[in-house]
Amino acid sequence: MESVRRAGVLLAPRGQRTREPTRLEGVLLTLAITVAGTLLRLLSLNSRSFWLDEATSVRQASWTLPIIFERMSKNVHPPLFHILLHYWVRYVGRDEISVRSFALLFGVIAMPLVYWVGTMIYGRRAGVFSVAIVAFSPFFIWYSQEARMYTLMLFFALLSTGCIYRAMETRLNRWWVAYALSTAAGMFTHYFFAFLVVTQGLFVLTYVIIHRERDLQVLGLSAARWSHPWRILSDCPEAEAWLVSMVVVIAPHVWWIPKVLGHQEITGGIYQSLSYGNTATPGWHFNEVILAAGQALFGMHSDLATRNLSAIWPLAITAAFLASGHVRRASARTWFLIYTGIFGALMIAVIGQWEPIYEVRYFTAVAVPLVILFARLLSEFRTPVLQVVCITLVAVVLVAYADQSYNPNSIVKWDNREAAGTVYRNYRPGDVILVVPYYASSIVEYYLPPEEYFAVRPVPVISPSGKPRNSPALLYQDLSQQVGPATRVWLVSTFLETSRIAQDRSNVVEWFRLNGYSRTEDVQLHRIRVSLYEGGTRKPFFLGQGGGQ
Amino acid sequence: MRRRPVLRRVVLVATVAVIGVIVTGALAGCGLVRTLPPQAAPGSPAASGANMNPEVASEEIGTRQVPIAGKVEPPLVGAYQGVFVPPAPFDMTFIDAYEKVAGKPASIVMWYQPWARNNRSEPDAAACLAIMRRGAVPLITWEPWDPGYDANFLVDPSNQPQFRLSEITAGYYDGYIRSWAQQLKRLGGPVMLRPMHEMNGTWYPWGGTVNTNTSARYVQAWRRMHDIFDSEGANNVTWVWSINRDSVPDTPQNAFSAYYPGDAYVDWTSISGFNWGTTDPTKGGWRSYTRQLAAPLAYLQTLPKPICLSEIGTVEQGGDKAAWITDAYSRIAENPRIKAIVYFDALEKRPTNTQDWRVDTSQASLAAYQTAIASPYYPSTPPKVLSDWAAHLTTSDWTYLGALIPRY
Amino acid sequence: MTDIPSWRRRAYLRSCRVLAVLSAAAAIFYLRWLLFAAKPENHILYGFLVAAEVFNIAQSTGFWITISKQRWPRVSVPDFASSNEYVDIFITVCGEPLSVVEKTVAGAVGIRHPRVRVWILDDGGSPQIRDLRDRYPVGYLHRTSRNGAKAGNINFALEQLFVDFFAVFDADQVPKPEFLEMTLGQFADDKIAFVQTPQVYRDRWINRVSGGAHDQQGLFYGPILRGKNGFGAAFSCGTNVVYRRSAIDAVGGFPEDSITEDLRLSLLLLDHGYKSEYVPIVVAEGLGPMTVSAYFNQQLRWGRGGLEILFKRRPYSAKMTAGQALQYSLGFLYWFTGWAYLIYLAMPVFFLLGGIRPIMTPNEYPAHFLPYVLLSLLTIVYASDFQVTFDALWFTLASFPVQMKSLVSTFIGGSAKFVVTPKERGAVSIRPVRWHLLTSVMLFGAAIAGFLHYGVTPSVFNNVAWIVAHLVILLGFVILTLRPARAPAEAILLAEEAAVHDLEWLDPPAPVVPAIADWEAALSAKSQTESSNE
Repeated sequence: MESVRRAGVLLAPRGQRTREPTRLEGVLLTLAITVAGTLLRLLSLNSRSFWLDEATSVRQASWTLPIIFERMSKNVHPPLFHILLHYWVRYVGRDEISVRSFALLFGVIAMPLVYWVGTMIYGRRAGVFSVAIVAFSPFFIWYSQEARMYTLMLFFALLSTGCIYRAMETRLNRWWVAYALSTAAGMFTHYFFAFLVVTQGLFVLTYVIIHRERDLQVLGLSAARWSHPWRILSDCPEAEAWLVSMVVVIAPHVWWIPKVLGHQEITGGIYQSLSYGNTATPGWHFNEVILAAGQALFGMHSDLATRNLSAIWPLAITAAFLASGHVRRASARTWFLIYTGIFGALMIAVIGQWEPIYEVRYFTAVAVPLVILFARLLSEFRTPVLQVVCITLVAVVLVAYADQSYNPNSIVKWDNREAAGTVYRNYRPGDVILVVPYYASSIVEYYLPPEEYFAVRPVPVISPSGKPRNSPALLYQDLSQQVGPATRVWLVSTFLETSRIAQDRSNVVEWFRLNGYSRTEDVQLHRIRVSLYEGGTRKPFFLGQGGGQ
Repeated sequence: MRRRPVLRRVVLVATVAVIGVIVTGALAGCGLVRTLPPQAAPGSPAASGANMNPEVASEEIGTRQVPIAGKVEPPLVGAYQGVFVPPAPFDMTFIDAYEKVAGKPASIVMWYQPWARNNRSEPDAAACLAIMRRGAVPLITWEPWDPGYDANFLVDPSNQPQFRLSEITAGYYDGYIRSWAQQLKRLGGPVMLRPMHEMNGTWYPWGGTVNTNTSARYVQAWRRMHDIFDSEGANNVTWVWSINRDSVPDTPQNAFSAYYPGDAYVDWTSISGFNWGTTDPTKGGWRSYTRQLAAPLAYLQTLPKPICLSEIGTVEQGGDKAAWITDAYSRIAENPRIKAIVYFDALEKRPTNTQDWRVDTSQASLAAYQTAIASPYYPSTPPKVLSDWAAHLTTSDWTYLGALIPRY
Repeated sequence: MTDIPSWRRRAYLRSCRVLAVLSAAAAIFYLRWLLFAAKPENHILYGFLVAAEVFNIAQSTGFWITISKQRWPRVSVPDFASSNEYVDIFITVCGEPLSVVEKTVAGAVGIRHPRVRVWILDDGGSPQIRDLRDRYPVGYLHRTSRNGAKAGNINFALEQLFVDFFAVFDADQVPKPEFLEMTLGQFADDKIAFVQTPQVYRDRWINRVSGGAHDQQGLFYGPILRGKNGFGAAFSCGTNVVYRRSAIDAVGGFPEDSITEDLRLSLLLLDHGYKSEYVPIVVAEGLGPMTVSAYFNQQLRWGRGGLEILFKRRPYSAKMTAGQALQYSLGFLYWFTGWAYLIYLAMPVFFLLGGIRPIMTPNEYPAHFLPYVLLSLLTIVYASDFQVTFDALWFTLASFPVQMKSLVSTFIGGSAKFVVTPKERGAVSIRPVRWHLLTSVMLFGAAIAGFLHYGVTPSVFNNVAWIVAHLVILLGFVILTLRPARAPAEAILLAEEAAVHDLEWLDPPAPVVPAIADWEAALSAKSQTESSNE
């Protein structure tokens, strides 16, 4: 029969494919790209202040281990990163560069690691392109510079992907063991690692089993045996091994899960608990997913830049049109990446109907297969096309890197360092520091010496039931106690674009007015504001004697 | 294709699964069992100090100690006038409203806290501090039981196996008690603690004649609590031993004296006594102050401790409330052994009847109350122990205490 | 185009249905948002946008329904030794060059059948063509009038010749020897009036226009016609088709009142209670249009013919089933695509020049629109068994002026004339794409004006991105018009590439997963056995 499998103009036909690099070339290229990527990461490592989550990481890592376990069970993140950071902070240091180096470490390790995974799946050429993507992507650079768990998550996602692929390839138990361990670690690093694990399982339990059974049937080796599931397992050792691995992965979570299920985030939703009181409108939240796509491709920029970059989404349709001529029936390994990458990302997107979970960093684990797929696509371009594509990409990436690193006008940058510095430089013992909203207190705390931590007052007070005490009556009552006899009170406020928080701040300011404090200093910085209020003489202990409300 | 025997694979999977389930079950089991007592073990983060923002590192804060107050001493002349105004102190505006109505600040604010987990069972240092700043000493009625979540006592009070006195004497609640001791000590200010009141009745699970308890157990349990507080150095806690005005049932084993833990363990004694009027036929109709309290007072006066009338109140129905109040306060002023009164300024709704003990149920009643407490016999300045303590606070102590946030 | 091997058909059809359902769900999701959740800003533009989207979704829904009903006939080679039917092969010629016709004649005489005759029906009356009867065992018929164009030509032949079955080939369509073996078996059913087979262009590698047209044909003769066949609505396409003589006689010969006599004939046969069959096996190869103007002429003839039947010839009859009515309607609907595309072209211009746009919250648009459009695209690619390229959709969109012209000329043009699609290389001219150029200039101007007037805002970026997307289609087509020929080296490369059709672009040649590899090897062995059986 005649065949019309046409190649298009963009991709190299099979006979014309540029040769694979040799082993030595691959390693040397990887090394060179890793060094370049590391330099880019180091160059702007400290070009921005700690933001809220980084300061919170340090606060959480400063707890003792039992306390980390106890409290992180009620947190949105599992504790592995914080435990490791606990020792890192203890032995390396607590300053910004030291803390960020921990994330940087895994961001650097990820580069050779992705070469290993990419090479294993699609060969050295695709492997080298994978390293280049990870090394120069503004997204991966950003998270290598942020003292959070995302590069650790990337590290375990790479290990997990590589190990399960190798395990399916070789059927050796040691790779399954490595898979189980790296996956368990990943699950203790970030809950969204689950999307990678679930889709890996989906691949093994649907794709592998269905094809194995169908092919055994075609070969006449066996009839389909869906009525005898355990015999399917004997046909398909991958499925069996994956299930056993899952026991290992889930086991450490069994005692943990009941605690986790008590999360306010699970009962009340992330959105509600973070905005404490704004009513979350049920419905479709994922309109903003397009912004996440923009950030994944171009990195972190100002609001306008992000929106402008995301607005060019119609070009995605053009790309899809052009690509439609090159789509071929995918092989098992491509399906593996489609399952874990594309289906994983889709799952996050679909769940986003109910919860706006479109922080681009939550896609880090499922980004691993996507990177390798993209590297494969790049490695298939015809040489002249590839040159154009690469030059364009490098130009875009360099501009994006510079803007991301050095443009202070960014939606993901705060002048926290400067704000806390203002407080710290002018702090006198007995001063009280009010922080609005309550969860931003870790920022001020990070930059203060520990013996003054108790001067930090989160506003509003959150009752144990999770309700913020932010009605004016309750707020005033709490403030009179929180401020006590202090005559100098700092008011640090951030996230003021949120109406609820802005309202809280103006209530606090009103309380100052009612109680005779006046503003003596006011520093407005990027996304954070610091004011000093001073109120005459020391208040007496007893309210009836002229102090307080 | 290579195939391994099916049976071997199944056995392998089953074995791993069973081991996994056992291990994880054991882990889960440990976790669950540990969560059962009302509070975690001593030294756990929850017990480690003042109730700060749950996310704030409290290790550093927790190690700070403000000055520790002494025991509450009775006034040389007169008696402290206190009050119970629910839902204070969990909503302080009720205290402020009371002071406006009564015309005089209270010297003691009393309230109730049960031991049942998650039902306001933890000390609320911020609430205590708010009371102190209003010039009053907190008096916490500390109840080892599960009252249920409304005032109707749907849980059978006399049959709560988890709150038998033997559970306390066996040490099951030591961790919880210790965490109270630590948290109250860290607060530093004077606190009166009234655990296991009305033990000579049948309506509480710590009653000496119910729930397999005995009076000896009661004394044992009391001493155990007291010893734990002593060992933690919580000397700012004043112990108030509180009886019901009559013993139910009235047997020798259930006599007041059978429950007295000893002079070394008690700082104050106290009585509960209400005039129920005609609101509840089982309570014997209108009873005057004297008829109500003469007998128990006679007993308490034999003990070398100041006396507090820790729950006192009257209804309108069946008599003249204003006259009752005037009579009661004049007789209190005649008895120099009575050093504190806590008026039960609350409305109690029960399934069958309702008692409105509040002072302002009528103009006459309120006027009588205002007149009665306006007497200089009831001091309007903070108790000395409190003002002494406040005078010793440094600015830094103050800032520290300001970090306390209300728990409930 | 390659048919789906029989062992894969069940899985293929199941996947088509799953994708159809998913695409439909995405379309509903999008439409629900567009109609009920989106906030209209300019109501007139909103109305146009809704109309265009509803039209597109209706057309897509038709496609999804079609691919869910694909049917393959049982192909068995009849025993010609024991049967006694006679077959004539008609090669309709009207001015085509000798070299083209001779290839066809040579192919036709090679058709395996004991009682087959080949006739050249020459309306051109060229002596060179006539001389072919000396070199090949063929008959030559020439009439003096040229009434009724191709239909008249065939009717003239039918007046002279009386056999059971006759096949019609355009002058460029070279039949393969197995043509009758693959098709005649279907006539076992007395109600079958004709058996259609696919049309492919053998010059698709050397000419880009021909390649694009071939791609469109691939989609049409692949999932679409297989699906129409499932509804009993496969229609005759005028070439590579075998007719039953008695059925044609029953409807009074070929209709001469339409320039798409094949479609008209199919409808008449349906009205007389006859059925049709489509055999998706390539048994003839032809030549495609080599220039854009030739391609547009062909499109204009098909579009105008179809629309004339729709508006002037009462296409629907009581004997049609609902499925057949749906399928024929979809055929007509295709010719309105240009109007919808015009609306899409106009939207960014309206915003960038006039500041008016159809909906207020463009941010929600991609989240609702992209799933639908990407899934639809994937469904098309899958349904074509990964054989369709960008060209098929590109040519459809770029034909918008022709599609619009065919509607307009149906009502205000003169009477339609049958023009044979020119199959040789003509002069290259910019004329056929003058509308494309004009539109491109307007779009480009609008983009510049938008940036100058509104500055750098997400809305401008979004609309400019749309313009870039349109320019890729339009200017790409202009370039194609000017340089339709492919470099020989590239053509050879592509043809070679096509030969290795089982290799997948996302995979290296060496199998890496032994566990998977050993069944893959077994599978490919099996599929080879199957294809050699066919």
